[in-house]
Amino acid sequence: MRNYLRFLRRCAGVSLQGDWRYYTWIGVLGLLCVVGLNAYAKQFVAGLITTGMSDQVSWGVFIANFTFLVGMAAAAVMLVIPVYIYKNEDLHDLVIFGELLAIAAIVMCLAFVTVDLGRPDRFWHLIPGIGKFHFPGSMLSWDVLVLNGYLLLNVYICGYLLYCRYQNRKPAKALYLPFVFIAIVWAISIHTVTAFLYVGLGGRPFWNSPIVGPRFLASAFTAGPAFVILALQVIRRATSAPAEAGPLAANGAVTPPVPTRSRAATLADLERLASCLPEIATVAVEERRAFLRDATVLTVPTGGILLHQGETDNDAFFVLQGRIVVKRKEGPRVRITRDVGPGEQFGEVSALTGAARAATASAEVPSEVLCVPAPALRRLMRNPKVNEIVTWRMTERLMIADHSLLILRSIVQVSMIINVFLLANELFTAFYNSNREEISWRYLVVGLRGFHALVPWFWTSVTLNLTALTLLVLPLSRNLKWLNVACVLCIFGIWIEKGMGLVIPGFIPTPIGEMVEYLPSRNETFICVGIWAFGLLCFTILLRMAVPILQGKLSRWNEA
Amino acid sequence: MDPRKTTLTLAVLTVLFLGLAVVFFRTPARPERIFQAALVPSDALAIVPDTIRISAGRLVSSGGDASGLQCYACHDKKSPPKIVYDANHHVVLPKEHRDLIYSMRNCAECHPANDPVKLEYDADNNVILPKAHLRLGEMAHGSVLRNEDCYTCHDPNQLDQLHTAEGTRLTLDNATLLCAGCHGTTYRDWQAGAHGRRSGYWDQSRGELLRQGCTSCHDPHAPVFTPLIPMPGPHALHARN
Amino acid sequence: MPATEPTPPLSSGDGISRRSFLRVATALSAGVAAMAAGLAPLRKLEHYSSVDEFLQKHYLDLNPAEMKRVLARIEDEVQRQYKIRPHVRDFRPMNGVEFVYALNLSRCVGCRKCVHACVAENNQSRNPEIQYIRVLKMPNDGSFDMDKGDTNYAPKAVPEAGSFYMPVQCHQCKNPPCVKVCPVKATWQEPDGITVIDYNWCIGCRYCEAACPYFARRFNFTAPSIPADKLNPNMSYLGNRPRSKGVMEKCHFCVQRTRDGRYPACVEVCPTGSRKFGNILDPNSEVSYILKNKRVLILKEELGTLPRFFYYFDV
Repeated sequence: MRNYLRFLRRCAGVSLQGDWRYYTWIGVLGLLCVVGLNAYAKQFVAGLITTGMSDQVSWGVFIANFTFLVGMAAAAVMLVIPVYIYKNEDLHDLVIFGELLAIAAIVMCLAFVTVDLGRPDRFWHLIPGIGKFHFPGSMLSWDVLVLNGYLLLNVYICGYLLYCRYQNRKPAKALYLPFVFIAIVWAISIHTVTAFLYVGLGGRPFWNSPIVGPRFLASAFTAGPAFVILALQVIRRATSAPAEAGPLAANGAVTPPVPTRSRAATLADLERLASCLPEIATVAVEERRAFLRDATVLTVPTGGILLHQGETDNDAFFVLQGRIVVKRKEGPRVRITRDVGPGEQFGEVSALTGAARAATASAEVPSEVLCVPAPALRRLMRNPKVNEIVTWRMTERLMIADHSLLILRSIVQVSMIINVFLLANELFTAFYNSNREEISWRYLVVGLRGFHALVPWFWTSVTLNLTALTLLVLPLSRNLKWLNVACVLCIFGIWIEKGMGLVIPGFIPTPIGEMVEYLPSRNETFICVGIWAFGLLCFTILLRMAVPILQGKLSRWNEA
Repeated sequence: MDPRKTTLTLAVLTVLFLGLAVVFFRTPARPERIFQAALVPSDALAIVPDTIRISAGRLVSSGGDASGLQCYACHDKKSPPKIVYDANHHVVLPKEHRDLIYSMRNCAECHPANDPVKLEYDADNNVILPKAHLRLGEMAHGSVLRNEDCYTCHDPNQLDQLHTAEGTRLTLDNATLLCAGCHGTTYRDWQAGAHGRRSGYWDQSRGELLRQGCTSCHDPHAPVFTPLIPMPGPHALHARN
Repeated sequence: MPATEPTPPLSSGDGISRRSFLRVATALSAGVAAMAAGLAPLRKLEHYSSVDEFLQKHYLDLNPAEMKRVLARIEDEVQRQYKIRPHVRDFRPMNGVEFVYALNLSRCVGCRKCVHACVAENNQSRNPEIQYIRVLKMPNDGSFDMDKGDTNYAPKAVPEAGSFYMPVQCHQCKNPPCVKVCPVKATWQEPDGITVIDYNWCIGCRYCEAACPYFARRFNFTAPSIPADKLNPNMSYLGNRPRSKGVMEKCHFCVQRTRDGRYPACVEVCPTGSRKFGNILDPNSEVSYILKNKRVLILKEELGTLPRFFYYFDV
């Protein structure tokens, strides 16, 4: 328990550190949060009359944002499915980012729902047992359950995995794998339940259609991964620095390496390794001797380089003592992919796959490492326990390869195709016949009885979505610049489609035919901006804590 | 890491936060009352559950001016008044009865008290009768046969009472049975409660159920309802709508 | 450590100098001050809730002693706000009673006296304006399509030629969509058919307003304002006691009158007698007669709400 508190304290501490860019970002978000808080205080005093809502349009941008963000939270699972069901290891290190995004998104959802309530002090009426929880009759009660459950699930999974990484321990499968699979199902359910909020209302024909649920999921799985693509690139950029002169110069030239001493490995070295990598102890003694024939121990002073990015030697390394930092050069920038201590490995990926070195490893402090050639490593990995730990640790690096982004691109691509197709279905059903029930569609697309406030919104969203779709389908979007453009278009197009294009038209005209339009008020907009800023702030701080842990820079080895 | 840039950033942020704090503190929390409707207040008088017309019976029992109902103050018992017809052979109601007819109408049914009536005068300083009142004082009972004989309903031998086709005598406040003679289906509905307004207690074990006779709502000389002035409709919450 | 080693923006460990800690702490404190100042509008918050009201149980869970205390508290609150001591009672449903409403479309002239009688009787907010009843002016062209209706008609006199008038209010449905969607069961159907709201339990999520197919429910977007001289002091807990901001309200068939055996205000004031109300379980009531003998119709039958509000014609 004490260790855990120390872990939390260090996390809190690291979240307050950064350079001026970090402080600017956090500061601006903080300013927007405070403005939003003030706007909400005004709303709390005067009531919801400070918004643009009325009896005729009784839900507005608060619920629109809520709907959009539930989709974002659900889409985090789009990273989990390829990794855990299709065993696509490329995305493994990115699962945490998706789940952190889900946490931030759910926090925003809960905030949006709270500010929309007329009597938020009476939230306790929702608590089963103490209040009167209308489950399973009311879809809103389902939503309360699944959203809070999803939040707890993700907080638990992320917290557990990050803490294990911090403790340099392999997570126990039983403690997280079942929850991951539950989270996959749960993610689909949070968005389906939110869709059912609308679909279940017979009195609102615009919503009372079976296609609304699939449309929700399709648009969520477009916007969510699109946001993740953008966020990952931001993380990639934020975790790297311009390469400076030094052992790793900008043009790739390397200054003469500081001399490294090497000697043959002994049983005693293996014992040392076993003390910080217990799985080694399962190796039989004869095997150890065979293993030692090929292994060497290298002693490196601070700054000594052990492998170079781009080279094709195939040794793997285990750290016996000290700390090794693994840095990858990406264009003009350098980032730390790993920071390893005793018992941890590096270089094993290219050793096992034969690929060129992805990064350069150098010693942060005077260190001793065990150098293992690839064949020896493979022999060692015939031991199941060693295999397990080495395979697990292969994923513990902050790579964010372009390849991963392209996998996400495929997800966005397919989802957007489905999304546009479903919209086409809706439009055909609405306009082919002169069905009186589809009158809200008429209002949205072409205007009705002289009211046409939403028409520009609809056509903007269609344009954005179709442009994004075109870009995504073309190979042009394999280029990251164009992919980013497509992602931004996706996010805005789907935000409009789900927000102004789905929540508001359901109310216009009213069930008895009145036409009253809706426009968010200034106060309402400030509150929305404030909550978005708060969500981004949460996401930033969670990343600020998670990234060093994933890199290995924040671990129990360097508790001061 | 450039410590100077960091210090500058943090300093700027500090100043911005403090400035924002000052602004918040000094800005009064005036709730944006987006729409102040100039509403026509619901007028108590116009929504009092009174009927359009006061029947003869109620006029008497409420202590109103029933002098107009003293027929033999002006008429001779031996000779019933002659019916006057106009060029189209339509009955002309005697203008001597006009005050009585007007006094039996509930003005508040059409005129809310907060919307005072403006009188209009002609060149000779006589009040111009508004179009809506032109039907008052007209004889317009029926559109085909038009009831062009006062003594269909009024008893010529006893002017202050009515008589049915077969000769049954009815007092003026018992006119319902007379109406039933021709309007049977409406009378049947009225008895069951489907026609005409009911007020008071639906649960008669707790109080009295009040029914209105035919003449409480319908002027027997011109039974069709005069159009009413409608009360104000709904106002939108926000001004722009 | 070589001085020129490239360091990424994220530093390791907690090695934070006192000076940088002070800088961050200062900015953070300014942020907290801004946050506290941001809450300044709350100074103007007037009587949001008392402890008793906050902890009050659901209406259906209150025992008689607790209900008595609640009623006394409400009377105190109303007196404090309006300087008039009301009489707040808790009317219970009567046995053997199911209320049904019938409206004669041949007779309604669209004068809206029902709307304003309801406003006066049920202490509805005048500004912003809340009206439970909406009168639709419909064209007499053979359709009942409510999209053709107009709620804002304001001619010199009604009825207008070529139109008929259809007032709409809560239909107290047998299968109410609003009751189904309320997440806290703040609205429910009573044994005598009236769908009621516990104003002290409602959390103001407005899901019921979205669910109602008849636009029957109203929300208090701000504190309701009732002129003190127009306050109706004969109140009931589930009916016409003044509501607070942030809660829903709707027509409740004048529960303070009907459960005392009287007609609702809209029925009493209608000058043409179009509105009919009574106990459908009583074979001699006017509503039983109407449902047996007249051609009745209900709105939006395809939604399966089974309303207790029937429109009929004279023949």
